[in-house]
Amino acid sequence: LGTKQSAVSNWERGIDVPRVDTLARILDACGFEADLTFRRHDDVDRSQIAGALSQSPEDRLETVARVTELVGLARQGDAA
Amino acid sequence: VTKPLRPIELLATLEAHHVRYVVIGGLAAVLHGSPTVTGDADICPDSSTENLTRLADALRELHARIRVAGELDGFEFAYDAAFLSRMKMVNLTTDFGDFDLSFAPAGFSGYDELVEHAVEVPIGSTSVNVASLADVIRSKEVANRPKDHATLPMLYALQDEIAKRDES
Repeated sequence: LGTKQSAVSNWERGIDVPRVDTLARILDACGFEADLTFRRHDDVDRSQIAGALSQSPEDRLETVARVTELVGLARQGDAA
Repeated sequence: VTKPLRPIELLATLEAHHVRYVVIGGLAAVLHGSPTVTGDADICPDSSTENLTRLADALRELHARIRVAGELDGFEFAYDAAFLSRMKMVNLTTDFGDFDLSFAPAGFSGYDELVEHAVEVPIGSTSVNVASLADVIRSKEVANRPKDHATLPMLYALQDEIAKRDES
């Protein structure tokens, strides 16, 4: 890697992190390569997406129907 | 009181009348797998006279009325192709909930442009044309309303998750 032992020691102890090009060399030495993907930052709960994707389209529409019915009932309760 | 949205029954009525349309907006997002909930159904109908006549028949069966804030029962309108052909956007209340017709949704010229990338989604014994997720996102980006800003992060994440599933 061409890196000093003290640098490796710092990585191991969490004092420092390797640079991207150094990380690429480490991965290469281990038979791997880095695959970097840029993604928009969001605070979306992706487990909700996984849940919806596991449903059939028809089930997704049934869920919409049930939720809008509940919302309607709640609004009626508020108005009463 | 607004009736709860019953999208399956609503779309089945359109199918029974052989209406040509593309599902757009929040309902299209749901059909793609978005866990967001929408309170109305939006479609972009084909604006040919024959199709508008079929759509008018479906709207008659749905007891559709023009939806206006503060008017619980909405307003009557003529169930005919001539009326619909003059519209760009119609907000309706029906037996199966709020139903919006958009003949030129934000970012698109109309049905012909949307149907090009639409996907057929099976629902029960039939299937409906749903705007592609990319087109749903594009329309919301162009519309640029506060409610679109609230929904877009979820749709970007959904697009990302679907891409990952397709790769694996």
